[in-house]
Amino acid sequence: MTATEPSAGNPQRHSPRLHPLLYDLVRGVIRFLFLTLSHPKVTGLELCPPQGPAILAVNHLSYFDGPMVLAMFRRRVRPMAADRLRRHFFFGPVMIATGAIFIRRGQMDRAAMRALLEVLEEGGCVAVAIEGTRSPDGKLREGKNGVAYLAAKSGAPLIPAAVWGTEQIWPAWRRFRRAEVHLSLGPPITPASQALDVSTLDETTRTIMSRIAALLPARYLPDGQDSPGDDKVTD
Amino acid sequence: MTTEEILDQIRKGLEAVAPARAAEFRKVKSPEDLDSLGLDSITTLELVDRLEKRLGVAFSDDFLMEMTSARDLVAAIQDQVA
Repeated sequence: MTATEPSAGNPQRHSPRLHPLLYDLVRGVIRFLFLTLSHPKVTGLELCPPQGPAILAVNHLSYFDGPMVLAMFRRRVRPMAADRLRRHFFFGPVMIATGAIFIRRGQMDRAAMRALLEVLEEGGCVAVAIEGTRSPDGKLREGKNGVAYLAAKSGAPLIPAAVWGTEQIWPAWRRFRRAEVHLSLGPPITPASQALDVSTLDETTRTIMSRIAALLPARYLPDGQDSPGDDKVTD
Repeated sequence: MTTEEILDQIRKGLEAVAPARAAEFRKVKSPEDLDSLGLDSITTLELVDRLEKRLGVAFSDDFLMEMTSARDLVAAIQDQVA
């Protein structure tokens, strides 16, 4: 491979094509499963614009987070997912059918970033785990700047989204019970600046993380952060 | 283009992307120094975008994915601007 060798596939298109009928079918099945096998509680869905570009910045507790977001939204949401999930026996096909954009964590995956920007340019909505990975202990982790970078590049509004209770789905099923699962959205944030320097991205990330923290119950916050939200929110 | 000239362009690019760390970037004397800066993927991505525009070079996405050190980046620039 040379430095200038073009990427494989269609050089004009970076994101996988979404097949609306397949997406709606899979979403319908997932939604049915969520409604019958758990108790979903959803608030703030109206805060996501029904059309036009939007970035959902979601915390991440469980493999079920992505499917829950897809199932509960009326509009089609393209999830960003770790590349290794592509081969998962259940979540892999779900992610592929819903037009997920896979990213290789820890690598400079410009193709994935281009794909996300392409979806936004086309007026789509993407869901991104702002912490970059699942929280091992359920507590909100430090946010990564990828979401802020996407917002600055695209100008799309950032919508804080908190998910919790999904980590209890599997343990509850094993006891033949249904877990109460939550998805809560906050008001959209438009970054004050589209500058791409690290300080600006850090500030946007801090703002969105404080909004997610404000939506989460205290038990999901890092130790010592028992007062959700803070005075750094600037919009 | 010499390695020193390329490093100078990289230093300028980094100072624009992360001005708060400018003093640290000015101490970079070799590609290995760049590796020790611990740049995250978003910072590196933005740096690469700026280098492409400033130097008129282009890197494939596969190359960037597999790039393991700053020396790879410097060598790729040298190949293209030679």
